[in-house]
Amino acid sequence: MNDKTMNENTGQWLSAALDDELGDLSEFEIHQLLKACEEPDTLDTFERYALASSVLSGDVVNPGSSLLVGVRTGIEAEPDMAMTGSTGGERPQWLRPLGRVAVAASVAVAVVFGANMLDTSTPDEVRPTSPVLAQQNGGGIDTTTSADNLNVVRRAVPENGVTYVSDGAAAGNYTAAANETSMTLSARQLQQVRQQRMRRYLMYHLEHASLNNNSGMLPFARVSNLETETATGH
Amino acid sequence: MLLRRTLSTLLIAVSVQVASPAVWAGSDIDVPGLLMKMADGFRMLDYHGQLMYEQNSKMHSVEIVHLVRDGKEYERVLTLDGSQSEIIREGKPVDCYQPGELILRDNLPQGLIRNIGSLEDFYTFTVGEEDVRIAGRKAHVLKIEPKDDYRFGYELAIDKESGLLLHSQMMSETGQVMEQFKFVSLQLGDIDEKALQPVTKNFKKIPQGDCMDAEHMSASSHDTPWQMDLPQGYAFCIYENPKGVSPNAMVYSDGLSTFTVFVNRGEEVSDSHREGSTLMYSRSINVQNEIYTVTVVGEIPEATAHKVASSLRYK
Repeated sequence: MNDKTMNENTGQWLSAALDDELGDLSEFEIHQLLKACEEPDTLDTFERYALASSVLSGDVVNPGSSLLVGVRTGIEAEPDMAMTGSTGGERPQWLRPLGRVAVAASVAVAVVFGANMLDTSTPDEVRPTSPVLAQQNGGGIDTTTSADNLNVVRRAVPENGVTYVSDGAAAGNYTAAANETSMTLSARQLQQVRQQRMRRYLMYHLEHASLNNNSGMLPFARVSNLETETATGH
Repeated sequence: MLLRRTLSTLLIAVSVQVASPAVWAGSDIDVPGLLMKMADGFRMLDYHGQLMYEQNSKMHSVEIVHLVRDGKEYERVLTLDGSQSEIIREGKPVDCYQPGELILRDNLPQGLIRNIGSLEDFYTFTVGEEDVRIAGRKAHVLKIEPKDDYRFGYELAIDKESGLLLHSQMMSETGQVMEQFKFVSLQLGDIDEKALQPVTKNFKKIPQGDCMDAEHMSASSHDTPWQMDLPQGYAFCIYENPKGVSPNAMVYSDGLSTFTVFVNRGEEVSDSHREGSTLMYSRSINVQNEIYTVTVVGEIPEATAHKVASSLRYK
């Protein structure tokens, strides 16, 4: 795969990742993006996109592709990683089949966000050189992780991040520190992606409701905090 | 991401017909005429006011300005509580009609009317015997009750003089007020154009929507690959591939209630909750061995969303 032949969707998804627009992608698309990131050329392309983006913004970039691959490996190795809510209660049965996809997607978001955030810094800073979540080991995941790499991940996690806990079986497969860090990141990012998407749906609906239900702009009164971050103001 | 707008519609007929002069339940007031006057009020009048929005005992206030200049509408909405946020819409031709507006006007091709019915087939309209006073103005009261479980009822106060909607209450199946808009101050006419100037830096401009002109008057079909079982009375309005929203978005309206259907490829978490009075309903379904997630957003009962989402299929 190269620039010319790379799947158009993958190019758009990478572009979305660099533009902090991952919230525009569905979980399916994020999953596909993560899968595409296993291709070396895709990562090369990502690096070039990131480099171009960062040069334009005056930063220096090193996307740290091994980080992406490593997390992907870790997620794939986990056989049945379902999450529970922050209250610690059991997920409804009907949600469970979605859990693994949700986790993978959210980690993809987290990692791409993380790579984007972390690697637009000076070349002298510490770089991740090995996966954060490494190879499968005896049915679980060996979270043998260098301190540098773990720090890199932790830098991407806001201190007030929402903490989700994994199912008991899955929890045992992680060392405490790495598990807590990665799962906190995943849940928070997943929640953000969903919330952003629903917010966009709501605003889109209100725009068209205001045109089609004969009540002018009144429908916009339904949202106390009108979404204006995509403003085109001048 | 590519933006592809493909608006076409089932609806269509832009020449404004004169609505039936039928007198509806309990009053000598021409209810279709009153509804059209209300719709025209929002599009044709110059007004500037503050309104209160209440839902679940939570209340906030909003400023709204609407002017018509050179045959085009200019509108601004500003939240007055909490952080300021602002929406602008400008340049929509005053004679530009959207499908939902045509439904209210009973202005659809005859064949389509037979398919979706008219408003009185799905709602009972009752005009109150006594006027009310809202924002210092006298208003008719119009009670609108649904005849099925696929839409909510309304109680409206419509300005006697101008036709502008002054007070709107959305009623649940059990007759409880789910939400209400109510003007608390209103200036009609003689509005300074300066009132349209945004007061925030990050205001958002929203699209004006495509007009239902002759080009779109194809009773044939629209470009959406999807088909759903709609409750009677709802008509297809718009199909789009909006940037940053969803691969597929389809809007439906019965003239009073509107909902939007989003279709994403892939499986996601099922959910049903309300943002205020707006239902956000998502579920994944298998369509010819492909998994899609359907999200229905609208001020509608859950039964409507369930019926629509569960029946998604290719044409």
